[in-house]
Amino acid sequence: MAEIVMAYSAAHAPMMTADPGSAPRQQADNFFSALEKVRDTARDTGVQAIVMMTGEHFTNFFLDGLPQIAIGLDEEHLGPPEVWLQVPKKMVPSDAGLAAHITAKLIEQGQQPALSYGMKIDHGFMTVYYWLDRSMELPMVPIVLNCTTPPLMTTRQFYDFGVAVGNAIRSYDGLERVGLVAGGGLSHFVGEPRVGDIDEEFDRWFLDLLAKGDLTEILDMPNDELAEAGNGTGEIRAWVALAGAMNGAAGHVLAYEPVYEWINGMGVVLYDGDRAGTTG
Amino acid sequence: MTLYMVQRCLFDHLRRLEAAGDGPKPDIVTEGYTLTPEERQAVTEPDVGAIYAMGVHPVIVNGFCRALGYKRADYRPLLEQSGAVPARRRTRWQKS
Repeated sequence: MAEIVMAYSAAHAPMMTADPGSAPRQQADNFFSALEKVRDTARDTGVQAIVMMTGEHFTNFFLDGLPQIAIGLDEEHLGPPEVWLQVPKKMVPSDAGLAAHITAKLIEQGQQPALSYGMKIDHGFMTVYYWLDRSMELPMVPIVLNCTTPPLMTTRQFYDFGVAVGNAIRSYDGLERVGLVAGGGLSHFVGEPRVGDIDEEFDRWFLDLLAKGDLTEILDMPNDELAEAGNGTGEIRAWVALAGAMNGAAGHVLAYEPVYEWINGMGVVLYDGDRAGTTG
Repeated sequence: MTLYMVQRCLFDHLRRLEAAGDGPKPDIVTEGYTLTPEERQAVTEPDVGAIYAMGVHPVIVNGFCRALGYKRADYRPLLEQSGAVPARRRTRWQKS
């Protein structure tokens, strides 16, 4: 059976690849150093494939048919569609067996993900994935989440979804070492009067919850209160799902930088893999 | 006539712009979308504040502003003056 040998959550501001030099040097160095540490962890643990969750940005779905959760089921997926992202366009390999298994096991556990063929993987995936594997050869199973179009699933529902994702991955016998990645957040405001703001208080509060491994406060939070931290901040649902997949373990906050030039709170949280959890 | 129609019109326009790449930018098309005169005016003028105020999804507002060549500093005031700024409320993470 597969183990989740590494798991991490990271912000996916487009500017981190489109114009990384626009951020203050110290902030960019701190954030990218954290992603380099994650990359080293992936290499050291011998990750064979990753499962990645991120917010939908009307890249694959629009208001005429918007699933709360959709899983890309192809052998490969094209990304990124944004020509300005400074990430090479490529058919990124997936692991269709793992994707199909996760989908089936999620349904068995009471989840109802949409099935998607022809899924495109936009900046939500590619910014973070490109930092993980510059060759873009590491297989990636993409999962998109509705994080911005109400009515939204609650954080608690996404935590439970994440628990089910973790169970699904760990019951797969086609691979031994799988990574789990969440992209999105932290606080940011898009297409609204507070565009450009960053809610640093929220970001630090949320990261502290993750570091403690106690998400009770955010799992009990109504969606409208979370929205006060920014209409893009709802993407932390992917982080909450990942925490659920890691069974509420405490995360290691590797970096936090409020990068106003990128209009985004930029954070990275890394979790110990399953083996560390079982051996203490 | 419906908010969805306005959003569909803007979304389709953004997709056409994307498809045009570096070529000539197509004008926004309103034929085929059931829009009120006010909605048609907002998307063709264009009036970003009015578009935001009618409830267009912020991801679309953001994409439309970018397509117009607006920087954040250009369109933030337009949204602030839209008359539709939501009231702020206190949250559990606020210390100050």
